Amino acid sequence: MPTVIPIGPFHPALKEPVFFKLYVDGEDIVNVDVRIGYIHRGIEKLSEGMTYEQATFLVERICGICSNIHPLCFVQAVEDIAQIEVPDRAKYIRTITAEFERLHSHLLWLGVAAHLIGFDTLLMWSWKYREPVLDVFEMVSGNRQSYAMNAVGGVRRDIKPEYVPKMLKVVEEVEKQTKKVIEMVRGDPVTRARFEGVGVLSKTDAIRYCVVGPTARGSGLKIDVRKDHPYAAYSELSFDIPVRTEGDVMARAVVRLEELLQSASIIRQAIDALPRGKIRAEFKDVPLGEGIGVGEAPRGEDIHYVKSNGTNMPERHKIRAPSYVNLPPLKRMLVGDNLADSTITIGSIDPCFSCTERVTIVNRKKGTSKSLTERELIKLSRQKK
Amino acid sequence: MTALKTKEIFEALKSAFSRPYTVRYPKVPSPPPEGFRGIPEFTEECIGCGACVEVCPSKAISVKDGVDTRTIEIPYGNCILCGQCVRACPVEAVKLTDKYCVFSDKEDEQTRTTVKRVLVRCERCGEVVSTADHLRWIIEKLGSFAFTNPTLISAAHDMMLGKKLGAPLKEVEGEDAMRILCPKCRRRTAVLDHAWRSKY
Repeated sequence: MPTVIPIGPFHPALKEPVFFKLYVDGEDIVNVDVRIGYIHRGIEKLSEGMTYEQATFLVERICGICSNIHPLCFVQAVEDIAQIEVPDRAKYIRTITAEFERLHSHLLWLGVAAHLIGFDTLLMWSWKYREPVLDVFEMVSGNRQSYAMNAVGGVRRDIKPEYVPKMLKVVEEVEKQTKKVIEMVRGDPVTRARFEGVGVLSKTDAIRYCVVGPTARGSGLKIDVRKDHPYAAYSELSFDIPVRTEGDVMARAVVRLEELLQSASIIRQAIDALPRGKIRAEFKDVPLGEGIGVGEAPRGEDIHYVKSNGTNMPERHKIRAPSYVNLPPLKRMLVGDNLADSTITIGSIDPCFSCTERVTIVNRKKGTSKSLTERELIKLSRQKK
Repeated sequence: MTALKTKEIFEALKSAFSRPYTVRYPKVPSPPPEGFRGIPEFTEECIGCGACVEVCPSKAISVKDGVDTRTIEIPYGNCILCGQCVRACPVEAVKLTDKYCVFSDKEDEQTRTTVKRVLVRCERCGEVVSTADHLRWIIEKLGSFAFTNPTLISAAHDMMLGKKLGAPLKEVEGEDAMRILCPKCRRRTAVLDHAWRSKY
């Protein structure tokens, strides 16, 4: 009879509220169960009662870390329905904002991953060099998070020429520090011992579970929305997709760090090539129809589906965030590993449960169910069907 | 390997012997950059039109219509500092200041920004027409086209004479169309009472 170790929903090792049930035999994990839904806020229902302009601000508050990509995908879905042509300058500004968001998100992940293995120095180091990125956001958009830059038809605020020197300086500093950190993470014996060979996800499993983002790229799948379905200005910029084949935590960490270097290069190209012109297209109303907006969030592919019934409020809004598909493979990654490695494995898929909580999964198991308490079982067995 | 450790040690020494990276706020002021989205504030230019109320995503801006006063207010706790009210205002009367860290639940500290304007009601049924400042703004914007609308003509006339707009409800005798009326009553007096019923 294996012992059950619950992790969560409030736990010092977790940064997000989720309930993991680890079935352990000594120190080895033999099975995993997960329960989510602690941060379900009814966002899809709320956006049905708001206009498209207002829903953009609601969608921004799905998650604090990826608060630019969600409104970007939503406005792309609405522009898809109404066939609005976004001006070029707006596309480039959207690209720049999205890549700065990737910078700050991956630096945050690096600090959190280091904290999970007890390497607090790296946490302080990476978050120190993340602060200037947030300062750039405050200068350009007015806030350190919830930037409110995207709007239907373009962007809300312009990037003035006097902002550019500071932006380039910050990008250069982040690039310099990232190169040092890559060497350090790959060379240091402690990080190597804790990251290499831990939480392995093979390529076949990755394809079967349909993972996205750095979790997939760390297992050998070369998929990225910016190359496969280009949006904003990505089709006009040149960059690489870093891919590793080992599939362990070290591979995912190195993929994220190398993505930082690619983001720095994208930002520089975009600022150089920033065209002149309007930043927002006029549009009258949104006709009947359906639209899809996709984007590459720092955690993977994010999809928003919007259905319009001709009024100025969406009829149905469906969001599929990347952490939702990255969660099931944890069963493969955790089983067989040590209990002590479970936190870093969970952290290596970069879970963002604020993004994930769109539906509550109800598991109906035949026979006795381990996830119901005794009281719930008795109540269930007494209810009339 | 040793080169790696040297870099780490160098970074550690650099951090150990320099000032802390943290800004010592609140002992030292920390002014935000220009364009920062802080707490909103109403200014005297407000005409009480209610455009900000329509666009607010979090429905934080509330409008209360009393007998002859309209009160619009934004409680700081509900505002998400997005700036949509600033974009929607036709006279640039709402501004996002650079204040932050002002949220308080104490009674004597400011927890909301408020503006009150004189409200004008229909002389026949008492429904809200708009505020006096809003009617003035419409008359100025329309120029001579304001003379096509009896409500605006009556309002301009009362303003010129310095009278209070929207005199109290009175029995509208003789199917008088030249009054400050709400849209429903205006159509009724102009079309039904004047044109059609008076014939029969």
